Amino acid sequence: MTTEPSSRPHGFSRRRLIASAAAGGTGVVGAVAGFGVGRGGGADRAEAAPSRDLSGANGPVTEPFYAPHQAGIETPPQAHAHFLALTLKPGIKAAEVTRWLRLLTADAAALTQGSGPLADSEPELAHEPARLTVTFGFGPGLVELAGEKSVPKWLKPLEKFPIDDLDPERCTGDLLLQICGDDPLTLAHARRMLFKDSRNFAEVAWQRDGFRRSYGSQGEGQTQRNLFGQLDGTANPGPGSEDFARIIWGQGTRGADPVFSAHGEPPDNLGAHLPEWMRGGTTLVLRDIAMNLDTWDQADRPAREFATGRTLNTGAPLSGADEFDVPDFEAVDKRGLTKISAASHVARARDGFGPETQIHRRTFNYGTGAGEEAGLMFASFQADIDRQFLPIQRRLAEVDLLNEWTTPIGSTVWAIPPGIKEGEYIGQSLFEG
Amino acid sequence: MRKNTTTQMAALSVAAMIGLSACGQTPASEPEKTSQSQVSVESLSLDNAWAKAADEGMTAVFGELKNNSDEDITLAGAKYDDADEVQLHETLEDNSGGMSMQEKKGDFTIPAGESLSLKPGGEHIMVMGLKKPIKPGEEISLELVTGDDQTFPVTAIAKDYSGAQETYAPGEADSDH
Repeated sequence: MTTEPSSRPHGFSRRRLIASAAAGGTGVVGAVAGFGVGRGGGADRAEAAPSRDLSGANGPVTEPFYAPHQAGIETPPQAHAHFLALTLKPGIKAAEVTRWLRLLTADAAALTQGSGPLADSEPELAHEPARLTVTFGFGPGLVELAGEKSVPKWLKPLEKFPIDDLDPERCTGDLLLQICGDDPLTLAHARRMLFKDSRNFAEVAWQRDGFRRSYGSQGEGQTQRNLFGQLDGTANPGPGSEDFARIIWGQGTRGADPVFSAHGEPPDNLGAHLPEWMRGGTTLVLRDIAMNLDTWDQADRPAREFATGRTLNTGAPLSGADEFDVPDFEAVDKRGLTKISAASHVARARDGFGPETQIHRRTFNYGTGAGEEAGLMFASFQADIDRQFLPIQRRLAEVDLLNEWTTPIGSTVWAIPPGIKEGEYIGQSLFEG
Repeated sequence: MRKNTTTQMAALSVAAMIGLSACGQTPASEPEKTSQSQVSVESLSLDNAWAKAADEGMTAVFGELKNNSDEDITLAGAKYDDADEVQLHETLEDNSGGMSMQEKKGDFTIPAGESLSLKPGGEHIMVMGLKKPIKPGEEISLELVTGDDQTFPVTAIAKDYSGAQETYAPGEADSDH
């Protein structure tokens, strides 16, 4: 069952395409492929009688702020996220931006550790950090204030994909704050404090609130589900793994006997192209993907699973039995047809790609109300957008049965600067490097 | 007048730095304290210091005024180069149910080893007649002046803050709170 993904060219069946929903366009919604590192949880739970957590155990839990990498990337995803993109006001220069970044750094350092920052009028709202993280992303407009030469060539809007229907207002921003945590009240307060320290320097470009399962609903390490009911993120490299270090941070750990996923051994130099100021950082492609729940309702379960290439209940590839079974794109059913359609999402996203073509998706669902917008904030972290993200995205944009129900409406690209030591500010390596 | 003095074990020195000039707070402690220089904590510090950003007019400085010595210290005033005047203020309820600030009668006394919290709606350092704007994120430098005329340089980070108004009366429609 656990075979390596095929590397030979693989044509897709016209018959299946016609027999199923129409294809075309882009969208990276759905499970990509399967392997598990650092998974677990949930196994012991079934035997215990359900009970409420009355201890408030998660409230005081903190994620470190001062670290070689920013938090909120390798951090196991929290239950809630605010994505807040800001646009610099006219006339803001490097001197103002560094003042701003110092303020925001001090705010984030305090809030994530459960303290109200300076001038916090409601410090009590900071006292249950519940794994709050604040992740800073820089857009080209901010980076170029440090000098045009500092702007990497990939830090620009992605190429246009055939079924993009982008809202220009969701494709802008000079600074991204990805604020994540398990407590929505703490999160709202953190956003308010960061906003108050931003309004002299910038205006809100766009924002989105996202959610996953609540803290405590499932054990750690469970793959989340999106609003289509699909398991979402099965193929992610596990936190702390050698794969994660190479695929996201762009550099191997140089530890002895590294273990790799079924994808194979990724190169250990994917981050070599990053400018010096980004060492310890990574890149983020953030796609706002609208999901059409009404037309998805029209697709019955077999059609949904056919389009995904996975079952909906366990997330197992249609060639396998378990979520983390490696998809077998050669396996055929009794009629002689491949069990996984070559046009399915999992086949398009995975079949034939080498081990460097992997990403870390840290997704959050959104829904603004009954009958209103629904979708997924698809945060894709990878060391090299050209080598890792774009090959997958281009192929999904070409053919992916899921494109029938998904439409990218926002798209931004961010440079994620490295983490810092106490006394430094986020972005110091850019402005004072 | 409620003094709101608290004993603090360790202060996070986010923004408050003390100069390293030789200025022990009392003659008795001077010989020892001044001989150790770089690493010793100054007798009087303003920890977690911040100021309300302002373009003109008046503003205020807050923080944890900490007496790191074993003698009581009185704060008699403060100096800020880019303002006409600096006063020590307290905030009192007025007859209408609002709050208003007024100059403190007498000094702030910080007992040995304790600290006094300077905060909006309480005691604070009032800066009047700004000669130039204090911008958000800017670090300003002031000098604290004790009753025995010793000075302690401190810095404060300017924050965008819409409280700490000179007067606050409930129901004022046009004010920015």
